Amino acid sequence: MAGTGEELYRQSKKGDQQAFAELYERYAPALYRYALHLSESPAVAEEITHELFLQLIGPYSGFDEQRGTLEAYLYGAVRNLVRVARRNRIFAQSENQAADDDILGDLIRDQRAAALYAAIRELPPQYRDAVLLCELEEKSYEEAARILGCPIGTVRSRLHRARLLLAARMKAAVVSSPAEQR
Amino acid sequence: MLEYAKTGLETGEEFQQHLRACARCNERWEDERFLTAQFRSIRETAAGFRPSDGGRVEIMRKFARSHRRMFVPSFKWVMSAAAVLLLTIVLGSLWRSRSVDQGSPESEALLNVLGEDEFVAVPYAPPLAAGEFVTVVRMELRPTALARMGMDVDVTSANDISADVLVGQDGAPRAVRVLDEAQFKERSTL
Repeated sequence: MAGTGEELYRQSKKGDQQAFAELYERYAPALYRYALHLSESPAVAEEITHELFLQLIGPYSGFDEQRGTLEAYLYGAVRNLVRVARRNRIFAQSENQAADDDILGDLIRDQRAAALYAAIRELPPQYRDAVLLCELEEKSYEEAARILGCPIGTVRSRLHRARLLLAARMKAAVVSSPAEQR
Repeated sequence: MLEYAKTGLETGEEFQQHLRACARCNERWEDERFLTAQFRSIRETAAGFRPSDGGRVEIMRKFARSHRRMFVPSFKWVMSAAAVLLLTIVLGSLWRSRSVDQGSPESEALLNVLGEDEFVAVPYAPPLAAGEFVTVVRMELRPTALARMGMDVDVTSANDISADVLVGQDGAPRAVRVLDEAQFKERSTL
């Protein structure tokens, strides 16, 4: 079954299970990764992805085609749910666990890549979002602009600024530990 | 420069010459290439991350359940509507039969048609239509049959009782009159 995300959403609202399964396959992995990057916790990312699709099933999902694309809505919802999770107990419970098993951080074998990943997490939120979407999720500037709800030029400038900041931080890291060379 | 570093497009000779001449641009170029390579490394590691299969199964099960539930309220509505309709029919028929018993225009019209005080309207009988012909049938009836028609008779009696039954065009009895045995004999000799 092919179709835009919005078409799949409409069909799934009518009870089409196949459409909903395709919607899940199309968006859930990327949304999970996005939630993982933002929350730094696989447990929270799993919970948020689950919660997000539960909202989509429900009668009051909040998605309105007149206001934007489904993709923009989903990524925006993930950002909001991460914020909510930070405030709620669920995050406090799993934060210790996340610190113990930072699975993605551990799996990045290249130390420089691991250091860069840590530096991305420390970026201001708007720069971090641009990096996560354009660099780690390989979204085009147009897609990122739709998701972030800002002009394409803003995405470009945020990404440019983010890369400058990251480069500076990586250099600072090399200076602080001279044994490591690029 | 960023786009060249990101996409890996071939840079021109002029660009390369500038990089060799300009240390600042060369440093920037190396930074961009470094970042692009490291982003790719992170991306490749993260690509294997996805929600658990258990989570997927659970959400699909909840989807199926939530859409099954959608039929329950509609079924309830159908059942409610049917109950209201049934209640309306029952109440309507009760009201109609009561109104006939309690001297409604239809029962009064029936008594006018009869013109005889001895006739008693059969309860729950449908009213006569305007201009409907009636027939009086004289017959021997079991006391229990007369009792069902509302007549005050001795149901323990084994003897049949003579009665005039007023029948509508549809064949249904509308009123009944018990004949005095002596009067019946008197009439039969005429």
